[in-house]
Amino acid sequence: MLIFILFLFVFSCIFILNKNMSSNSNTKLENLENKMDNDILNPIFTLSNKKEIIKVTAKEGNFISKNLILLKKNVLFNSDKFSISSSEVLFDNKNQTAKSTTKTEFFSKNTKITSQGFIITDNGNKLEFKGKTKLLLDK
Amino acid sequence: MKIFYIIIILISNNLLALDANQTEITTDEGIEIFQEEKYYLLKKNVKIISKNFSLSADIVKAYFDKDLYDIIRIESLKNVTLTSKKGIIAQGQKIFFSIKDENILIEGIKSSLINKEMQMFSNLSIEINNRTGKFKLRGEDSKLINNDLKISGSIIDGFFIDNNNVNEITTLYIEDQSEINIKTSKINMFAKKSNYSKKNNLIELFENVKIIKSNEIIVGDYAKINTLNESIKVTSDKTSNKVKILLTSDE
Repeated sequence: MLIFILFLFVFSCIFILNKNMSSNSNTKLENLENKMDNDILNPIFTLSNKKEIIKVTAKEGNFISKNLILLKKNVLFNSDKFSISSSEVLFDNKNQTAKSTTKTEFFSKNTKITSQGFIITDNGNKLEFKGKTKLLLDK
Repeated sequence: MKIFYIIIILISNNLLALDANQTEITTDEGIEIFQEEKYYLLKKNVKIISKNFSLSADIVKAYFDKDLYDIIRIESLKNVTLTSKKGIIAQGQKIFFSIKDENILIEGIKSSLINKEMQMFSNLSIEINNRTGKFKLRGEDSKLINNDLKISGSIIDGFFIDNNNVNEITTLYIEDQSEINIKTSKINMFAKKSNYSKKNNLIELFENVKIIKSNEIIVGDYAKINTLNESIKVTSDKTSNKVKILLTSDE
């Protein structure tokens, strides 16, 4: 009986250890694949006009072409005046434009906008929020 | 019945959710911000709700001052309705609303403005400043109705004051190339131009004057009507030199 219990214990230990190792190696593999999928990790760009500089950051980025970059996860446009966040943004580094069709949040002093996407043109002077949009102003 | 109460509670919760100092703007087709030009372009089914007014329109340009939250002027197009906390209901094809100085300009056909007991209608433009009390109506057959007073003309300018929450017209100038009309419960007046002063209790009529009171029709070139005792004085200029009084029968 004792031998049987001991056998069962050893077998369980081996099984758990094996599963953990396999899971770890899977995660490592996924991370590696992710790294290979993304051309840039934590990319940083800037949009600038006469009056302000808008810093563009994200967790991941993929080059679609020489100047077009698809920014993914925690995409943030930040200037002294406002910030815009979204999960996926197509950024044109040459023309200094950006476009998103995913849920967007805009914050400025006493101002909040939620929309279904956005477009930045004219070097950041013109901000366009797409689809059903809600603007809250606090005065 | 329960569903009805739930709906009421949900609606009131929604209304209460908006802070007293907050302005909520919703659109169906987005918002554009022009930072240098300092305005928002709001597109399709635009609704603005603030503590002092609410507005609905199809297209709205909202100008801001220094910061994005500081809206000072609103230009709205297509099927515009503006309702203010002070009792103004304005409707028209275009409404320009200056928030700071409380000036409202309505343009286009079927423009209307109701300010408590004062009603204004025009097919060209209505402008009113709720702070100074100045108003202007332009366009053929523009109409101003105030209690028992009905006025029509192509130019109607005047001032009103808030007297114990009642809007009282203090001065008026009315003009029309063809004919103006001022109608009270007892007198019906026609002319080309007219002045009214509440302070002097006086209506003056100029050119092609016709006054209908009870069974009398008085025709002349100039008339003075005392609004207190309703006495009428009609004169003619030297060229025409005639004042006519016609007596009509009820039968």
